[in-house]
Amino acid sequence: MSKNSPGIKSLYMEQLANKQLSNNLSRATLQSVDKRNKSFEEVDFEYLKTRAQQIKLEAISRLNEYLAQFEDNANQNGCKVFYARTAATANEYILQVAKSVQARLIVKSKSMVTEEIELVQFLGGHGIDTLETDLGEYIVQLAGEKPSHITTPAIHKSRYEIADLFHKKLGIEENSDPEFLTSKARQVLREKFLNADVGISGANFLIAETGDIVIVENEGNARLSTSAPKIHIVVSGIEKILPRFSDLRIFLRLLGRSSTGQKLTSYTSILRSPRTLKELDGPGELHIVLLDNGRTNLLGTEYQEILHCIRCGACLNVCPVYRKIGGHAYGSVYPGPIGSLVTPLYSNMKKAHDLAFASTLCGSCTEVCPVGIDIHHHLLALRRDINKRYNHVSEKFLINQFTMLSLRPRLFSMLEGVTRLLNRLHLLKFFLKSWTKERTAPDISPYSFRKYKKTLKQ
Amino acid sequence: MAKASYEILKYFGCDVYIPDNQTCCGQPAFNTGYVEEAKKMAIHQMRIFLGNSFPLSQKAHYNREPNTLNFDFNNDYLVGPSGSCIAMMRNFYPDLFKHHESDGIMLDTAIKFSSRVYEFSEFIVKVIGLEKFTGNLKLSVSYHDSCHSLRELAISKEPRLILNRINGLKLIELNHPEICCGFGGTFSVKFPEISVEMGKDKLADFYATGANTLVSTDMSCLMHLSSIARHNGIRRRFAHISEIMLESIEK
Repeated sequence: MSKNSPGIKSLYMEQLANKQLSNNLSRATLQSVDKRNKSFEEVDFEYLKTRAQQIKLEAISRLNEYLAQFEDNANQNGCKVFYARTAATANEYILQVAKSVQARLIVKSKSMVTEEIELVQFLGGHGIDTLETDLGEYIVQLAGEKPSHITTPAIHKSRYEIADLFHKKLGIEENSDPEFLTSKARQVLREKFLNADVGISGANFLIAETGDIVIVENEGNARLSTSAPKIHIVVSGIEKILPRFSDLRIFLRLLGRSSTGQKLTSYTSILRSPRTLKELDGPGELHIVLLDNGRTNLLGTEYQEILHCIRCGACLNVCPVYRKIGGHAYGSVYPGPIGSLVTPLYSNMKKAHDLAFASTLCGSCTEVCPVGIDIHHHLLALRRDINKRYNHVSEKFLINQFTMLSLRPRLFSMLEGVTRLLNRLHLLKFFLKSWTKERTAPDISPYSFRKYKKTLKQ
Repeated sequence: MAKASYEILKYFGCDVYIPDNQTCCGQPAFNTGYVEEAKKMAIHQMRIFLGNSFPLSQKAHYNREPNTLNFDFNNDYLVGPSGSCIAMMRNFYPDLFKHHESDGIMLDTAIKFSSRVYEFSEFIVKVIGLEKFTGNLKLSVSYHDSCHSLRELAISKEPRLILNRINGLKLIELNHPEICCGFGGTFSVKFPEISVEMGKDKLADFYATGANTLVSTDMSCLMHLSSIARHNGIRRRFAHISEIMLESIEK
């Protein structure tokens, strides 16, 4: 996350004006919400959510212990665990591992953490090509863009736009049939898997009790990325830890349903070790990079439960603001409601100036969150923190004036009268510029209820 | 709308008292992140509504008339025709005073106060009883769930139950009654373009039902939506549920 990258205020207008984008997003997100809702009809969402909440609370409250346990077990399983405090140390470690086998080509499955540390750009700067193997990520990479959603990175593109992209970049015929497009991408990617020196993946869950790495996906590319190359590097945020293997039964039921409305994703891989002597294939080395990068800042604060997030993307799909402007408008790696919390709290509080306010606080995000994070109320708390830390002189002045008025009923009702008069004279619009661009001035009743009330008493 | 709510409560035989000195519940300041200012407004608001039952002394100079109210926590209610003001008073007033020990007395007051606060349609269904109400009105309406009513107060069946008690009224559900209209308080002026685009989606959903009137429990959603509709020259009606109720018993 670059500190000076443009923020939502300077980005959203362009995204909003793009009608194609808006249509793509509306269709895709509403469909996802629909599928999600249907998939939860047959299980008890509230029960699963409560259990998930309890387990995550346990895991994050005792993060140190569980991470140590995970590390011990992973070491015993033959993995190498590396703690990275920052993005830079994570990138450096991964580069050294890649250099140890003179890697030229790396295949990578979907991972938001690698986006967070800008790994692909970093490795590219050292002459190592990293190919995205998740279809959505591959599309975004071909287009020279960034993911606009945490689970469906190319959600902003229609299949026609993808057909056009493949036609231009891969020189294949222009055919927007999704199956055709997928098979073409698969052909390109298969060959790369076999030639890659290193495979990089994220992780959905890390199991402290066993040292297991759990990855869910739908395309099989993660399975290939983690098994075909000589070296497999897992990059994961430290908050992905779960205490016990049995906890998976709760989380796997929630994750697929929340993100894509699936009971279970097509593939669930549970990886424990590099290739053992008995096995014919698999990577010779398995490295696990555990990334902090600001996460521990949240421990012990009122925002701690944000570390419970399992990155399902449900809050993005259901967010009416996200639906209008898309992920790119947020100007940060993690978009949408959860992104508006994670981005400022992990690393860059200044971004909260705009992000915390880019929400109607409608609460849909909180309603669908499978681990019960009180997302919209945290956004509200962030607004409070921002105002404490930074002074918005003109806004503070307005709020102070309004407060002063509210404490003086006589003045308050006089101002009501003035507003009514302005409205009657059609002058109100001049005082409400940001309101009236595409809206008429509010339809204020010409009659005063206070006056009406007086007539009743007599 | 205020008049209609008043008349309806009278119709049910309630003894309605409307303190002159009430102003704003403080939600705009609170939702913009100004907690101290919101606290001041909350204290003012509780002072006005609780009258002599407010635990601290009255500040007479602010009041136009002496506050003779003796709010009875066992028998009196505070009813508001706005989901978002009620969400503020019920859910967030106690929150406001949770963080400092010196606010202890206000916290107790806010908790007691919040338990007596009801949104208008919720009050009719839960306290007055739906069986006391029937009306007649030939009208087709759609109902928009305001976010604060729906997700902060869990009110969704109450307004529908009320509407269904009106003979001749046809309730045609929106495709997505639960999606935010885009108003969002200060969001509507901080991100006016997004706010309006969201409103347009809501309106498209409303127009598609063919209903004549959009009903809600929150004037702020209706103000936002009607302003967009009028800007685009569209003449449909946007009404608070109390207005529909009043019409249905007048005819």
